[in-house]
Parts: sequence; C-alpha cells; structure tokens
Amino acid sequence: MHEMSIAHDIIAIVNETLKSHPDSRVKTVHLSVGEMVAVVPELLHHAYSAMTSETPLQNSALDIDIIPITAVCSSCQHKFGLDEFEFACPVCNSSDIRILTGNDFYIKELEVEPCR
Amino acid sequence: MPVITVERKVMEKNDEVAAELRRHFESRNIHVLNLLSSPGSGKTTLLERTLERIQNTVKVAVIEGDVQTDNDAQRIAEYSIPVVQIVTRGGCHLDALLVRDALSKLDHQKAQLLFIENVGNLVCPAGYDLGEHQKVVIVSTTEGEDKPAKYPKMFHVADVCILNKIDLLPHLDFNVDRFYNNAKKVNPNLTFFECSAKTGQGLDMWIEWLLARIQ
Repeated sequence: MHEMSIAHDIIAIVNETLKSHPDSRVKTVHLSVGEMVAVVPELLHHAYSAMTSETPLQNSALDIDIIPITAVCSSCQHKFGLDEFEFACPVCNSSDIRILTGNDFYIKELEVEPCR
Repeated sequence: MPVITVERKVMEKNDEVAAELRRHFESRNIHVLNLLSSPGSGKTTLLERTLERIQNTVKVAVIEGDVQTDNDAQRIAEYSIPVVQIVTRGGCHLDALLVRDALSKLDHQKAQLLFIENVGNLVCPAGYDLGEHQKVVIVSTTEGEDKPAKYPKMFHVADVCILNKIDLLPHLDFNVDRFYNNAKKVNPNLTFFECSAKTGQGLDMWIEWLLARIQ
C-alpha cells in the first residue's frame, strides 16, 4: 500500500506548481502511469482523496492514464506489447528485449480554474 | 478549462536522493545491496550466516528496515558491526530519504559492504531506488514456486535471486525448475543462488559472488 506515499509526493508537486499560479484552483491532476510501475489506480484515488480532504485541493481529483508495456526485440526488431510480465519476444523467443514504454510515472498537467 | 503543464516525475524526490546516495557510495567504494523478500523468507538469518562468514575479511555495515520493533538490529548487533534500525511505523517500504537519514546515524565510512534489509514485502519496495548496486530478492521454498508470476515487478527489478530453505524441499511440493522458469520469464538476466541459511548448504556460491563485488 505505497499509494499513500505516492499520493503524498503528487500533492507536494501539485502544491509546488501552484506557488507560481496563485490564482488557480486545481480541478484535475493528469497522471501518466506505466503498467510497470505497479500502482493500483483505485487505491491511489482513495489515498489522494483522503489526503486532500479539508485542504485547498479537496475538490480536485486524479485522472490516471495507464500506459501499456511495449518492447522491441533486439534480435529480430519485432515491436510488441506485453500483456503479462513475460519478457521474451513472441516471434523469435529471444529474451534480449528493450522496454519502450510502461516505466514512466509522471504528472502531465493540471486542469485549473480561476479561484478569484 | 485552463491547463498548467507540469511534466514532472512523481518519484523525482526519491530518485534525486537515490542518485545522491549512489555518488556517496561510489566515492567511498562501498558496495550496497538491497535485500528484498516477503516476511519470513529468512532474510535476517541469511544475513547472520553471511556475516559469520565474511566479517573477518570484509568491513560490513547494516541498515535494518521494519514496520515495528528493533528486533532485527539487535540480532545483527550481536556481530559487533555497525547497524541502525529504521522503524517505518506502518510504512510498507524503505525509500531513499529514510536511508539517507539512517546513514547519518550509521558508522559506515570505513565499510566495504552495506546491506540494506528492506521491509518484508514483495510489492512496494520494488518501486524505490535506494542508491544500491544490486537488488537481491530472497524467496523461501515454503512460499510456493509461483511467487515470480504473482509479484513480477519485484523479480523484474531484482539482479539476484536467492532461493532459501532448500533443506525443506523433501517435505514440500515446491518444483525448483518451475520456479526458475517463472522467474526467468519476468527477468531473463537474474543471477540465481540456492541455499539453506539454517544448515549452511549452498552458501559458498553466494559468499563467493559477494566477495567478488568488493574491490
């Protein structure tokens, strides 16, 4: 249940960003979460809402965009998605593959409205 | 609705401190291993048996991570080596900031090898870089051969996998080959060891690998 500490880090970055936008109130925090990151979206929503309640962020919510795991085979150059965590090329069975997407975890943008 | 672009990594603070720790370890030539497992896999016992074998030749320091109690640090302190306990009070993993705090209380300047024994948990600790050189995941035969399939991220990020409690194999349905196949599916590059920390069986290979890490 590391979603609590992740929510804490998200809130810290959002608050830091808002320092240079004092006239804005956050409606939505857009996140990009790679499938490799092993974050449970439901738990993250709950953690964020619990930790922002009775704070200036209390009416904001997370929008979580899940990025699937994709890889390229170093042997035959085949590009493929990994539904399971099975790190082998489905065409030539080589395990020498390079992950292209699915590792990233970042805050893309904040949707805001004027608060004055 | 207006939009503010952020484009910042959620884990940036942890990653920053982990990079700082890594520079610190490099500059002092300290090799650092992050020990990961579920509770009860025998991490601390394996560490004790390891210390017995290397403490006369290698300078070692230990950071213990647990949700509650300093029981493990007390066990390690029996070996008269520097040890500090991090009690996370409910936190399910160690992060780089906790390790940095612990290091400030740990006499590690002369250490050649630092073990960080993470909180027993196969999920959350996988996501936190502690500035270590290798992640070592320990699995015991009583846990079942499908652990790598159930906790793929942990096995994917690990460098080394130690199968512990092999002395119990005759009493269990644990299929060792199937375990290795499951682990290799999520991480073809894993280095494997198998041992019994209790009987000492198989420890030589692990110790040999460990000593080769120290220049």
